[in-house]
Amino acid sequence: MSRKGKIGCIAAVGIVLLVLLAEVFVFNANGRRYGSYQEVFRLDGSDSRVEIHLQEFTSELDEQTAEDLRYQEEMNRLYYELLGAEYESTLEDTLTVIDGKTYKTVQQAVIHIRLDESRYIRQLQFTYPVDESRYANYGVEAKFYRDGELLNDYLMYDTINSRLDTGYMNVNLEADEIELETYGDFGFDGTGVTVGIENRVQFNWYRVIFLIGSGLLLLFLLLAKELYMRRLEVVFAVVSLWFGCSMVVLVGCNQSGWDEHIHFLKAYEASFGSTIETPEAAMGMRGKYSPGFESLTEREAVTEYLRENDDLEKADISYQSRFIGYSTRAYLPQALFLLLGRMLKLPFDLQYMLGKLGNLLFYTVMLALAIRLAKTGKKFLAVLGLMPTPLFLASEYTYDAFITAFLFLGFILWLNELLSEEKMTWYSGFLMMACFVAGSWSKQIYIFMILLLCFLPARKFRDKKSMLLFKGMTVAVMLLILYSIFSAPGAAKNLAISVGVDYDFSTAGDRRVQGVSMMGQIQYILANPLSYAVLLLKSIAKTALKYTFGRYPWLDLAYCGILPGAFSAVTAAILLLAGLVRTGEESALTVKPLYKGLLAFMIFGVVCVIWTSLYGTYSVVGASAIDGVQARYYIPLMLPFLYLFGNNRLRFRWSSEWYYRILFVGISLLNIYGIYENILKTTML
Amino acid sequence: MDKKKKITGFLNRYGRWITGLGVLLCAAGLVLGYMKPKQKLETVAVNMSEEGEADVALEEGTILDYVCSTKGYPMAGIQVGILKYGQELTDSALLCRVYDESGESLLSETLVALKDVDEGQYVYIPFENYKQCSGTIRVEFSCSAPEGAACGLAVNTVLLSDASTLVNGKEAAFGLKAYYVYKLDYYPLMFDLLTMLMLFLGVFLLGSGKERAADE
Repeated sequence: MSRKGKIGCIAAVGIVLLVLLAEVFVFNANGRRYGSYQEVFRLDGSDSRVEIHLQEFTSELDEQTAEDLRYQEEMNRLYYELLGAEYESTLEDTLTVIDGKTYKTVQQAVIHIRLDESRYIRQLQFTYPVDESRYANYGVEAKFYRDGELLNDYLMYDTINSRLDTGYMNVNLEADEIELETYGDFGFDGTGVTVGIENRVQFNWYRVIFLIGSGLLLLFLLLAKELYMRRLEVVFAVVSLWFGCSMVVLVGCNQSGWDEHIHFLKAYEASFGSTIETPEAAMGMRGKYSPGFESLTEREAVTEYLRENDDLEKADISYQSRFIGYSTRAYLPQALFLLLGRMLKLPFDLQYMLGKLGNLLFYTVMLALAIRLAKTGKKFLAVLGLMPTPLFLASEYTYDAFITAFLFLGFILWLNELLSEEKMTWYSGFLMMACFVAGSWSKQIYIFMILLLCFLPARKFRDKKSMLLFKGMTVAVMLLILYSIFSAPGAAKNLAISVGVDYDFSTAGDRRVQGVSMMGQIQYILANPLSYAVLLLKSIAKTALKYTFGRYPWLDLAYCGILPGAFSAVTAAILLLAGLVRTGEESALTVKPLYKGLLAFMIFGVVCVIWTSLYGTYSVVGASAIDGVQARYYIPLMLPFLYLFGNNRLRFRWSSEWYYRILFVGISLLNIYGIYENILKTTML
Repeated sequence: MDKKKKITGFLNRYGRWITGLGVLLCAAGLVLGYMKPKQKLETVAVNMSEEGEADVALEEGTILDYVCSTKGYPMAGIQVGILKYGQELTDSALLCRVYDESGESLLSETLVALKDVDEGQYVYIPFENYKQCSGTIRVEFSCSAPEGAACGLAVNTVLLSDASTLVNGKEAAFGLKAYYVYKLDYYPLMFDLLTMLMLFLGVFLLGSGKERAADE
């Protein structure tokens, strides 16, 4: 074995030992120090250590919630009118409207528990009878005291889920007094309700495996040498699969992605043929009412619940066309793996994770292929593809990973043609166009990127005729895809008379925002082009830095949280290092200034379209601000953006291996921090 | 590398044939798809209110006419609530005739056997030549039943602005409870075939077999 190999082995063993020792002596120090115990308090009035006071208070709903409720009432009333039926208000009993303001009455119980002695409380458990009608919106806030002093000046709150019989809260405080405040729509009834406190040693295998794996990965990145230069796609794949799989397993069945329930619904339906079978577990995911977990113990309870409600014999049956719609195709990798999970008769929670794994594998393979094919800028693909947010998107139910993968590949194929002196082949041209089309199925606005093909120089074509035909068809395809935003040619439609107001294009827009109207907004823009242009440019300028180099497109893990602002400096440093600096061994090919200008123009154009489309679909007509634009919409544009910085002047002083090590280790540390702090610590301890 | 060269060589040599075949297949697919569209049924609840629910018995000699606007689309059928008043009606049928606005031209005639209809069931009555059933139409209901037997149709007291119900030619103060059924043609593969056609057309002239071989 070589010297390097021996060092690697010793380091690997050292990492394993270090993590195991940390798990026993650091993470479980209090478990060992204070000993294991469990104590239960009954809240039915029979436990003398417990005092309960009941009260009721009324609070005014915030403007937005009240507005949403009024809007929903109005929509329901219009719908019933359309059917010719009498409308009855569906407003909850706990809500009252006085002088135009909406108030909610909340029942509260204040529970005081005095412990015999000061105890280290690792976890608090709140056990109650399962009753979906009662515990649907129930919460418990906990305060802990020792010698009369409040220990937690931060909020400790647990939302009780009506489908589980216990809520778990990680405490990790030494206290002699507990105060619990409950929040619910009904009067508190302590029958069958208990509060438990416990401490124990809990070997967290998820944490152990994650830390060992991440440590070994860092070791791999430090020891890798020629792999960076010869097979960068392999390094990318290893890192992507490790962190992606970690996210899939650690997030589990928590719906932490943006609109994940909607994306899961589409992937789940696509995994069936014409008959869709939806057991209760899947319905909960679709309807966003499935219980989530915030601790390891809670995860076990949620897993048990999902597995108990996964009976296909009791499934809801519905039907669909066998034809896979355009907006559904981005979910095919996820759908295939969901189908695989069902064929293997895996329990629901594993099926759910397998679907996400399908998304991750597709993303990794496509980007690895793009890296392999790229003549220059392989590192751009690797760096962008391994940032926490794109990786998180690839590990959840979304269509973003599919879009990013195809657009990146299409762009690389285009760039390869530009940098090559040979004539373009028909299959290369076909693949390029197909990639941009596939990348636009779910988000048609990205189809503007296909116009890059129109700027391929004449030398790439055999003659003028072939050039004109190719570029003409490129424009035609773009127009066809854009037309499909309004109505995909030939697609099945619903009649306006059957769906009523919602079908009217003049009111088309995101239903979550009241006052939105696509047509109204277009009319406003045409009537006020100058003021809209100013608003547009101001909005783009205001967010330019934070949506490119900041943390928002790269460090946001959706509902798991976002890394702290200070890390923006790290992402900026990594991106600038990758973009501005090159190594000695790197390909000297760069994009010519003329094409850099074209790329800049294309990026700016697509950004304008993104903002304008959100102004039309997500902002109130005539609004003075454009809402709804998220930084992750910029991700597909960041690859061409990085090529703007490519130059042959700034060179890395040290070896190429260290250049890549800095990049990859830097990104890996971001991922390790993000996953540990935002996922593992918040849901898996 | 040899394998890769073999594949690219094959693709280059027969590029014109492959792309040409692609163009032809897509074009053929478009033509066939347009000639044989898929159909989707759309059911619209026009008057299904429970307000003043009642029924009209279609005894011998009783004709119920329902004059309505098809709301701009050819109507493929109608769904009405049929009452049997506890009778079996094994030898009875509901006759549904559709006339144009003038009442002179018979567009469709459908007989619905009542023996298999449940009490209160909303039965779908398809119209023949449905594409002509557009604009304002008159739907005539009558019951052919042995003496003493009759079926009925569900009505309510809701009156629509673009529909009226007549019994034996006299306008009634009630409206027929009904769903209108439409057939929509759609072409599921059209978008994909159009896209593929454009892609194949776009690359069709990018190098013929002979020129490519000469380059290599």
